[in-house]
Amino acid sequence: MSVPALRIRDLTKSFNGLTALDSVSFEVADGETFGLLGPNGAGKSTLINILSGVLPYDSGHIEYYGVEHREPTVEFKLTMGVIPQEINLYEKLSARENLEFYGRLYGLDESILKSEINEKLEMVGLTDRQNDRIGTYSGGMKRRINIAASILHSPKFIMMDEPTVGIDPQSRNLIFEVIEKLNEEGSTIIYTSHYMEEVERLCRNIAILDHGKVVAVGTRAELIALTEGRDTIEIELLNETEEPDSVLKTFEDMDPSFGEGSLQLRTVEGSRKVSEIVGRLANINHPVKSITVREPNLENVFLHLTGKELRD
Amino acid sequence: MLKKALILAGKDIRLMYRDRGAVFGSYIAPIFIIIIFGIIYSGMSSDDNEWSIDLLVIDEKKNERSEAFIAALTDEDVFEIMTTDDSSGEEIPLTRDSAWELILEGDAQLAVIYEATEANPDFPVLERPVITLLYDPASDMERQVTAGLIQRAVFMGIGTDLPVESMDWVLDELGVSDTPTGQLLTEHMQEWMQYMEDEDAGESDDDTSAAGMDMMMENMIDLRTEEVVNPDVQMGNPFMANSSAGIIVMFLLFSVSYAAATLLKEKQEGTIKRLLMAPITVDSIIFGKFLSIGFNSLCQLTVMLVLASIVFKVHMLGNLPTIIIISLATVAAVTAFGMIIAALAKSYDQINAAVTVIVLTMSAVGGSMFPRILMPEWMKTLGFFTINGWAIDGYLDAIYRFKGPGSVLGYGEASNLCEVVRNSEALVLVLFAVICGWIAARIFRRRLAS
Repeated sequence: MSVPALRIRDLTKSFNGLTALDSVSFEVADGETFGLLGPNGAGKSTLINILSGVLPYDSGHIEYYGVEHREPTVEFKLTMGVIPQEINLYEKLSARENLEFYGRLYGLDESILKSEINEKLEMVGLTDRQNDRIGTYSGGMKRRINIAASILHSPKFIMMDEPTVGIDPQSRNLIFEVIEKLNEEGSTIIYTSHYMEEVERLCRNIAILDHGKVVAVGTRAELIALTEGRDTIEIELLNETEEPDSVLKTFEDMDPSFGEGSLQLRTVEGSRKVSEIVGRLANINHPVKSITVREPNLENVFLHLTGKELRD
Repeated sequence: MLKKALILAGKDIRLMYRDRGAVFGSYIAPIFIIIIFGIIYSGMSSDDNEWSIDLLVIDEKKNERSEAFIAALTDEDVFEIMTTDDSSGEEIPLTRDSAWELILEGDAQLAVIYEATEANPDFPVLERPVITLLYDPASDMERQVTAGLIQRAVFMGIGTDLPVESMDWVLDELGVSDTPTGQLLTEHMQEWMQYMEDEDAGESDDDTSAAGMDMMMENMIDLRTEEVVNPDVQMGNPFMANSSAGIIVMFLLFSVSYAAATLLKEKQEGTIKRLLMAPITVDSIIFGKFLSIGFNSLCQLTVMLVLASIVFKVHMLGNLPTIIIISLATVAAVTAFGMIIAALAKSYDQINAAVTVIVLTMSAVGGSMFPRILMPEWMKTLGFFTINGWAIDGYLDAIYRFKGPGSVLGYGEASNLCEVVRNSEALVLVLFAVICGWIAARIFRRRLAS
């Protein structure tokens, strides 16, 4: 069995008495794209900052490729590429100047640097804008250069902290393609996000983080199995109910709740129970305006495990 | 419209009072600055003479009048009189040459010599005292104050005796001193001198008598002034050189402190985070910032020095090796100091407030705004803890005293450690830079860790 690229055991970190990470443990296999899913404030960025050596941790154990990591060394940083959540570029420098600066910090020779910059600019689709100042770029373009700056030195381990926050769909898709290409080329990637669609698309294994704790780890299928295969049925009633309690009582076998103006039920084989549900509502004089059945996803997993929605 | 405007104003006022930096800059900083300036100005105008001037006194004449004159000088609270040189460990009476040497070396600023002139054999009593004031051109303010006080000392010490003695001598020569007319003339002369003395003591409000006294004083003594300069040095305008050195250092402090705000910008914009993730150490980041700010400061300083040389005819670049050493040391100290402000500040408002208070205070106390001679002793001592104080002294050593690079680096002649330090401006500035840099690095590391 090969050594995992990253192994974390009981990692704990507090800020002024507030626990940001609480006994976090998981493993990332070499060459995989691993997802860290959690709402804002779950501790994802703190974890990335610790793993990248920016923040010290209180207790626990971190291993990179079988070697314990306590203090970040220059050699360690050379093997790693970190794409922070913030856009860390110099606005008054052009994209190429930014890349040259970061490439030199990583000790790339001038000839290699030039070819790497050309390759990465091509990869993020910004070759034609390379000489424009970053200040003139859109948010999505800045994020793409932000990624290019972090992978110039071809790191074998890449950490991406919500690299698609606040960008347009075109840039998001391009970033996904870049991540998939990097993974195909052999890089191990940790990808954090609070968008479950992104994690579902990119990652094989996923850790769900909430309030600094890992609440579940596994493949998408393994995580969904935690919900016992229950579908989510979202029902929009024709008229607003004045007796929500009676509605909830009618469906107490289907884990009912009201949210965002609709009734939500969770049950196995939901699509087969649509007519039964409509019938029950008719019996209590609540005609249905629309009904949607959704198969379980990571959103449901999160709700199932934490009792709240991912974007709460 | 008014209601909406009031809502907006209310929001702005609330935001301002929640910003501690803005409150500090608006209220505490001006109060602090007013206090500092108040202390300096009150020291200048105070009758208590909290400030003092070290004055070397050489009595070449050694007669009753010269002793009375020196006694009158000693009575002036503002002077710290020195008649001997104890730099060698022994107390050796000062001579013209040793006083000249002390001033040239920057160990003293002023010397008064009561010249040993020959009396007129025909009218010995009418001898006009010749007093020479040797001065360091870097201490022009002290020279002006001292010249005025010398006249007062002449008047208080020998001024009233001289005309009366002269009258007596004339009356004796004419053989009428014992006649009623002679006695009447002597009495009138004594009354008149008493009146003059009262006037000088401020007990009369007659302006004409004051003008008459000034005229009389001008004729009564021959006060000569002599710049103590290295004959190889072109002096230029001493006042402008003094002012330029002070102003240059003050502006450098301002600009460097704001330049150091780029460190804060890196923190706020997150670029510092990426630098920390890169394969470089925190010390490299701090040192890199130090070098870039230092380089800009050096360019700025060079432009200001060249401008001062051209526009104000100050021979700023006359002693280039020493000027370079002092400039590099000043830039290092100023840059490291700016790094501390940047490391501590959490917002631009805090930087503005800190720079306003600290730089203006350092500049005021360190002599960039007023000659330090005008300050109380405790404030002069405080000046030794400012970059301005050391940098200005260093530039004046280079420009006026034509000291070599070794001298400002601690290789000059000195009798004790205190004197070595006092004369090693560049070395002190470098030490200042090292300490400030070390503190800045510590704060910076601690901030990053949290």
